[in-house]
Amino acid sequence: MSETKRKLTRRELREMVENPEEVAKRLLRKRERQFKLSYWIIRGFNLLTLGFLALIMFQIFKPQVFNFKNIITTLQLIILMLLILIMLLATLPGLILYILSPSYGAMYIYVIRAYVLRFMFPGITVPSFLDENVFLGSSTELFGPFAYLLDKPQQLLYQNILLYSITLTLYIIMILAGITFIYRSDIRSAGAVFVIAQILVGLGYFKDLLALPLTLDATTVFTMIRSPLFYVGLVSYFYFEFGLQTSYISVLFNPTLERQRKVTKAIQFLQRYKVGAQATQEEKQKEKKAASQQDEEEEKKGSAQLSISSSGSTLSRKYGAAALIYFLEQASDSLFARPGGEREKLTGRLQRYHDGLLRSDPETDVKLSGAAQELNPFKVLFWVSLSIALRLTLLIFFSWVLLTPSSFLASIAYPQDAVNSIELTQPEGIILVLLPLAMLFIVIGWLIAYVQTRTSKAEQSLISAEDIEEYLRRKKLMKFEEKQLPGVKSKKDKSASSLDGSIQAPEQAKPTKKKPKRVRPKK
Amino acid sequence: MIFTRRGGYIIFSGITLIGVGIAIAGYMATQIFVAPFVNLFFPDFYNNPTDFGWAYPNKTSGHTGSDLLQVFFGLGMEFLIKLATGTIIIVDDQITTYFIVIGTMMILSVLLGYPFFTAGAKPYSVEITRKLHKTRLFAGDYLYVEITARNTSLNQIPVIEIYDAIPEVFDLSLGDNSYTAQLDPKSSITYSYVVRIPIRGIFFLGPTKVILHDRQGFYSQEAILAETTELLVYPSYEDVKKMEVIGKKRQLGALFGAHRTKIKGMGTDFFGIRRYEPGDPFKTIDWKAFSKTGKLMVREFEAEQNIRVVIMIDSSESMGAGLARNTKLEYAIRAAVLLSHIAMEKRDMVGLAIFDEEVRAWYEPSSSPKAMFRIMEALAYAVPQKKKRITHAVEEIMKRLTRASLFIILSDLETKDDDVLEAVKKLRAQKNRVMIISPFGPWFEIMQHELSPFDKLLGEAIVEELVGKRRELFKKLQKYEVISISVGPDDFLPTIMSEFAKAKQKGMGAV
Repeated sequence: MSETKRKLTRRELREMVENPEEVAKRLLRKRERQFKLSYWIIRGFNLLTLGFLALIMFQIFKPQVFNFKNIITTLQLIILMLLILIMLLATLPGLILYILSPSYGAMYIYVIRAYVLRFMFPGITVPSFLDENVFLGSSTELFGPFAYLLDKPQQLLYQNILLYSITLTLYIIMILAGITFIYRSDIRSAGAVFVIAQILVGLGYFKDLLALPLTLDATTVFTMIRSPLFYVGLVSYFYFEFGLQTSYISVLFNPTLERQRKVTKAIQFLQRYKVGAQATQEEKQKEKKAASQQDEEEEKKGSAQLSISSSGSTLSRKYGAAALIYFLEQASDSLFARPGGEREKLTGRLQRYHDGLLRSDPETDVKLSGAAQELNPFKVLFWVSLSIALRLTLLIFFSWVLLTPSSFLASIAYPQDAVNSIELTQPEGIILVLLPLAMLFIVIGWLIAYVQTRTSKAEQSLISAEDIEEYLRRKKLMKFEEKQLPGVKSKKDKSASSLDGSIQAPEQAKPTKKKPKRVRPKK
Repeated sequence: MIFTRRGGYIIFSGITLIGVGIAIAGYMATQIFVAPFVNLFFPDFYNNPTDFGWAYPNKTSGHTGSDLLQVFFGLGMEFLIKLATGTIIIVDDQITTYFIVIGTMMILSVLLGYPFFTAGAKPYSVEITRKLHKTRLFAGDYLYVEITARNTSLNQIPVIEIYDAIPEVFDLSLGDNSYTAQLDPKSSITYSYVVRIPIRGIFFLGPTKVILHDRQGFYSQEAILAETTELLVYPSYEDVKKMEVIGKKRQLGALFGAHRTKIKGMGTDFFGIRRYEPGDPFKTIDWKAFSKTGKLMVREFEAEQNIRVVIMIDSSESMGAGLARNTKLEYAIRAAVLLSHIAMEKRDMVGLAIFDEEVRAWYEPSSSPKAMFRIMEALAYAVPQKKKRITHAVEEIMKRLTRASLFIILSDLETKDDDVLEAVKKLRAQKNRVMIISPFGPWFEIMQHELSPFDKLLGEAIVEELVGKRRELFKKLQKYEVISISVGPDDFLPTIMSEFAKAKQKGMGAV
């Protein structure tokens, strides 16, 4: 609830008094609209960043990688994997049987393999790089298909078409993970997109699938950004950073929306208890029917209780012990039993209590549902964008410092021989600067925290003029009270009161009268 | 540590990526190292690397299942050689740099914001205020709690998590006691929740835990801020209310003796019929008897006398065993509330003593309406603690009580028999009447459904033994004309009410 809350008009005030429930509902709806709008805007931006990353990934690979035919190969590969898995699982019991009786075991394996191929995967086409006749078991060897799979890895693993299909599969998984992130705002999905992007770049590079060489020119910051190596890395990082920032919004909104949903549902459920007084004729009839059914059930229960009470003992006859047990059980049900489900917590009594609260403060529902915070979606977006821009700028600058360690080390008067050393042009150079730089941020942070703690401690130890004034005022009051009530017991007296620890209501504490000193009459 | 798990994971991923980069650099070095040896032994290897026939010992044409081991061996050899000679993957400086750059970016992304976070708002720059709808209420009531968090600093708090602690026995009925929000500089946020308080006692709401996060969730700081708020919960009045409702229905048969009678000026119990004597009021004439006998007869009723009752509640540790909502003490307190109400309604005088090792609360018998409130408050404060000393408690009370009364002792009697007998002796010596209503421990504490068959048998054996001991004690107590009854959760309240009604009829503790 913002401090700069606008003043309510006379009409709004009147409405609040006359119809608090409607006002509360309207407020809830307004907050929900705000949250949902923010969500959709963020989702839109997420989609854009995912599209951008997907486009860059698409561009850096050779055109033959993202070919439609490769999708078919991918599908074939997936089906093939499934087939191999099923065959392996089905063969396992056969192996045990084979140990016990080789002839029956072999028979079982042949039969089960034939069954899998004929009924589960009829007419399966294997990728072109596999010999269908050998693989699909025309061989009389028991473990022929598996041996064929393991034979000569180059026949299988290093086939270009297989690499293309793997790359394409990874690319599709990356997009699917990105879409999952858009819907669920779970940072793990964004992390998955980032990791898959790195795997794609690595795979593309290792197997020569990239369309352009990943060169890096770190002469200046601008040449560095324009270099394909840094550019690709930056784009994938940008996606991850945006993911981190937007997941923050979901951290804020999700619990509130969930809470809002739960509270609204509970309040709606509570309204059912009001039906008796305000319902339409149809609703009243329904209620009547339900109530009469309930009465019948209770009557049955009651008659059972009566039969127990009239069963014998004089106690139950004379004092109605069974009846007492019955009503006390009813009381204990509502009082001492832990409520079972969500619904059981919502009682007519709670509804009356809630109504009372609503009459005294129409914003009760808004506070209960946690929708009290006013979030301007555009303001949130502005802050997120600003934060991303600032962080990326700093990140680019420090990355440049790390990629050109010589210039950085020269600026801090590092020995000239070391600065000119060939080692600094190698990856070790980056690590050499990265470690102190990382430590520098941590040390700065610690220093700030230390200074702040010291300052706050000093502030706490200072006594403000207001405190002194308050202290003096209280002291004055205390003196006044002491004068007015001479009989008030001191703390020491209180602890040694009549019966240790006995509780006395305030009205019981009577001031003791002081005995007047006896003054001897003057002679 | 200020870094969250997320921040840690990202730094770890960054280090891993740098590790991958360095590993690739190492792999490159291996290739450079291996190349001269390969050229030495296999001069044509780099021109024709695909023939690895020599790697498969005894290999014939094609592979079958019978030479699986050879296939495995060949496969391993072939893979290792290809890997070492750079036939499988191509590497150079660029891919190494790429992974190191990405790893560096990830590490920096976490560390960059650290100084900014430490310079931002602190948990102690948040002020928490807790408002309660009421601080004194009855068990079973609902309570509305409102929490306001105010950011006193000039920095925005991107994410603040607030957790207001509530006692475990409370039921959260509406809303939630935790909240996540964004707090702008010098602004505040309010949320609320409704709890149901099922049992009586003194409870504390709070303290409030506050956790601050940055936008990315890399760092967090937490602190416990607000003070606790004391809540006094009186015993439930629901039993009394229910009884009043039943009483209003005038079901004399069902709850006879448990509610206010509608016949004024005389007792409710029939005494007998006698001959009419001049001076007897006409309304007492039994016309039915007259029609049968032809003589004037009058009906007589027992007159009700007001009595003086002292309820002694044992609040020792053993009375608090079992589930918090179903302890012997809770039942004893419910019984005391009900009993006080009934007695006061009939203008009887009710006193209360709560004791363990000492007498914790004492109120002299009184029939004023104020006494009921005092009793309720004392019952609210009762806490099961320490051992019990019934004799000592009786001695203390006897010093303050001048007239004989009916003592109703609500205790589980889990103490030495002598202590109970001595206490009873002392009470009887002063012509007091004594009634002991004793909640029997195993009936309150043993959860039948949670026990294994063996435990059940063991439990039954223990119960048998305890019942035997109790029977002996009760026999001894009978010598002093003490009414002693063992009760369980189901018959506690009805028994105490019926016994009280009987005692009143007999005029025990009459004023």
